[in-house]
Amino acid sequence: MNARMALIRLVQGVITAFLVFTVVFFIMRLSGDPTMLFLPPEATQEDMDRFRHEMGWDRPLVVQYVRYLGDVVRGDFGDSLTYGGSALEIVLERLPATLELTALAFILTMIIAIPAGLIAAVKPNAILSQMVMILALVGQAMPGFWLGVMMILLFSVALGVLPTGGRGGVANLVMPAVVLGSWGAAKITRLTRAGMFEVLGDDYIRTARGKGVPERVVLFGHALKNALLPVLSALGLTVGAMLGGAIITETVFAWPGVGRLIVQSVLKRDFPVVQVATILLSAIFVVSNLTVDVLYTVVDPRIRYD
Amino acid sequence: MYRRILNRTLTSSLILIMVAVLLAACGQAATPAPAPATEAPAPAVEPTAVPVAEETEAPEEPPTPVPVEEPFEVVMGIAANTGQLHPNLTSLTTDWIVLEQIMDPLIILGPDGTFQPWLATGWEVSGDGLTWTFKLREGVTFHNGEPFNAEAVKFTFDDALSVEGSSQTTVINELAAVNVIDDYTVETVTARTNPIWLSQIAHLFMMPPAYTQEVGPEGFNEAPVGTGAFKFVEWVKDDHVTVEKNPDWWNGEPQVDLITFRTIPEASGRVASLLAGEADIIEVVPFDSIQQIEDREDLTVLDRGGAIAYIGLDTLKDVPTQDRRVRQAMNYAVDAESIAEFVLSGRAQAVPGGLWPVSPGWDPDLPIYNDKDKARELLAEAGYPDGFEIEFSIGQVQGMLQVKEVAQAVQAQLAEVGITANIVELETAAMFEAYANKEFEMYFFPWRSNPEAARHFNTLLHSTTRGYYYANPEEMDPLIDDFMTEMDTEQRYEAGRVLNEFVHEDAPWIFMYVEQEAFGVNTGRVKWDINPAAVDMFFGTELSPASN
Repeated sequence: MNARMALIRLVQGVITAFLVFTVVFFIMRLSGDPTMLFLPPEATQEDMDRFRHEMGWDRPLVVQYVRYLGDVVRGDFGDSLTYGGSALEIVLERLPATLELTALAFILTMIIAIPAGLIAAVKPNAILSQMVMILALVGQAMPGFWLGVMMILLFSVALGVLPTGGRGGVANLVMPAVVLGSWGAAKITRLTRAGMFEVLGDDYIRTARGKGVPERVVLFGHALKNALLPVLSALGLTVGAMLGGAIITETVFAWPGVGRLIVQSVLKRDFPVVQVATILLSAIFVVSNLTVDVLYTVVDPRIRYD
Repeated sequence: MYRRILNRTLTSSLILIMVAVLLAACGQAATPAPAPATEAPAPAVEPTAVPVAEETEAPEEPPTPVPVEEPFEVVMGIAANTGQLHPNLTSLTTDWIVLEQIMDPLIILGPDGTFQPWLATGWEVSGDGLTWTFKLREGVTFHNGEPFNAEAVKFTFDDALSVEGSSQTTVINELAAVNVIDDYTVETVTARTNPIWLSQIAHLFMMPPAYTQEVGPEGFNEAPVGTGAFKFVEWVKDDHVTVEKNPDWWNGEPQVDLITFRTIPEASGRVASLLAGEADIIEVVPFDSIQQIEDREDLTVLDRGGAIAYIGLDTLKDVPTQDRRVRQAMNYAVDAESIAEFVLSGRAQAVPGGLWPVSPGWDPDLPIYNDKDKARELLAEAGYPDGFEIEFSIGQVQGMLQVKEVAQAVQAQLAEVGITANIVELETAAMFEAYANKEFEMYFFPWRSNPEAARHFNTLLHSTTRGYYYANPEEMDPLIDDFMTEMDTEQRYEAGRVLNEFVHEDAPWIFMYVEQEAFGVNTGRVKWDINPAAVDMFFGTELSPASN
């Protein structure tokens, strides 16, 4: 990837973040005036008017938008309406928890899904392969919320081997990571299998086998790399799906991360926090896709971005 | 070449990851997962205000057998995030639950519904009803060693007035002056006679002046200091707040060593944590989990009277509900008792007016409306023999019970007398906005506050406050004023009775019921009776290990 291309991608990323910012701004503002949520029930009409004025909510929406955009460009996202203090700091405080969870879920996805997909492709009729594919189907079809609650009931309440939620030791990570990883793992398994199927039918594989190259080398040396190309692009998208999935997973498992913060902040109409959090997550998404693009050129030198 | 390096890197990283996962699994096996009843997880006792979460990878130390008694920790699962721990900046009950451990007010509302001395040992009110004099408890110190005295009280009132974004508006509105008489005597002067002054200051937590000035509002929020039974230990944002016992508490040494308030937003997660023995107390038990908890011998559900639920009717616009007869007819049509009994499985008590059964002025003889024939008769009289259509707005507000199911029951009962109520579901913030803009025709809302004060009449029905949806100030306002300013207990009771009777008669709302709030408690592990009278659920009650 050359410098010009990198620059274009960067500009695209900034545009994406800007669009996310704009959409979130208007959706949040148009879905209800939160004044009453922030004032005690005794507040009079004057109190409410004053509060609205202080917050700038009595101005036309477009004016509010331009002013806020100006602040954000200067790096000021404003203060949280519920926690007090800088919205940016509040979100950044919770980011490590989300990254930890997403990273583990991502690693789980890769170390389970790619070998599972391989097995299913190489020995499609084995019982193990069949089981893998059934699991993959179930994994993709099950909503994370339901899976999470079921796992809590089984592993925490019935068996008592894992904590129901919260962040602490490694044990706290197991269930959220599995739930968060399950959807992606199912998808990657199916993609890996499909990719391998396709590649294994190619001429060069037949040639390799004909030359007497050991099967191990055929699979891992020749086939896997090409089969993983579509998987690679799916992995980029999986990161995005996981960041979205974290919203549900973190709520179910009381995980103190950005996803849960978004849910709470949307309910409480904490505009600045929602803005910061969504921009941050979309930035991570953009970066992960950019990384995939770069990896593409490394794995397959034929691919060029011109 | 490259491929080989790539392969080798890939292989070695895979092996590393697997080793890490294996190690993690072993580490987890070595840690006793959900602690059995007698074993508390190793607490972090190091006081730290920094809300940075700990590294989870750090291997936990294996539990070493210590002959000394392990600290007894109580874990409470709360439904919302702790918002702010500066007492004058928050109005969330979730925060108050924590603050009432760390800090003390002058007086508390005891479990029997009367005010009890707390940091004030006694009080009296002047003849004109404006000046309240408080005698303070001597020899009390804040956790940081500062003495508690009249200056601290004055400082706290000043902070409530001056701190930016103060949530103590009720106090601010009424307060005219705070005077220090001597070290242990302080008087407050209110702008008008105010019989519920004690109730209004029962949530004013006393702050240490020097510390508060030194750290500022944000610093206080991160590490609150008070005179309370427990000292602040740590607050991991969105996860938990931990407090440890203050052995020198003026009211005697607390019987548990640590309390951790863990935020578990999902109702099913809260219940699971109670069932699994991770939490000892949980709040807001969802309706459909109560039986499951009751079925377990070591668990129980504690109830207390919660919000009063009412269906407001628009009397401002030119709509059928502007006619008192129509409003009465709607009350007659709705059978709140059977809804409380069958839709809410008896977890609510029907009321005939706006008062709680424990409020001053409650009249057990006031009848509950329920008569379909009378409803039809009144509708015909008002000129609506065939009924009319009305928009019925509902939303999930403050954890109300079974909102939708109740609304559907109301809808069905109104249909029996010819009224078509079209249910519109709104999201919480939208609900509040429509409320503020007076857009509703008919709306379902709860009111949660101290039943003793019954401040909601003033807030919801008085023309000078919000005057909400209600256009009969000539008759209503004087009755509310009487109730809100009458100092004599007996006469205040009578004023409340007269007011509630008028409200019943004039029917600005369809009167529904008082809900029960459910708490799940692991009685096999802890002994606790909730304070049923006040928002502060721990004050005036004892929390101790079950074995004691």
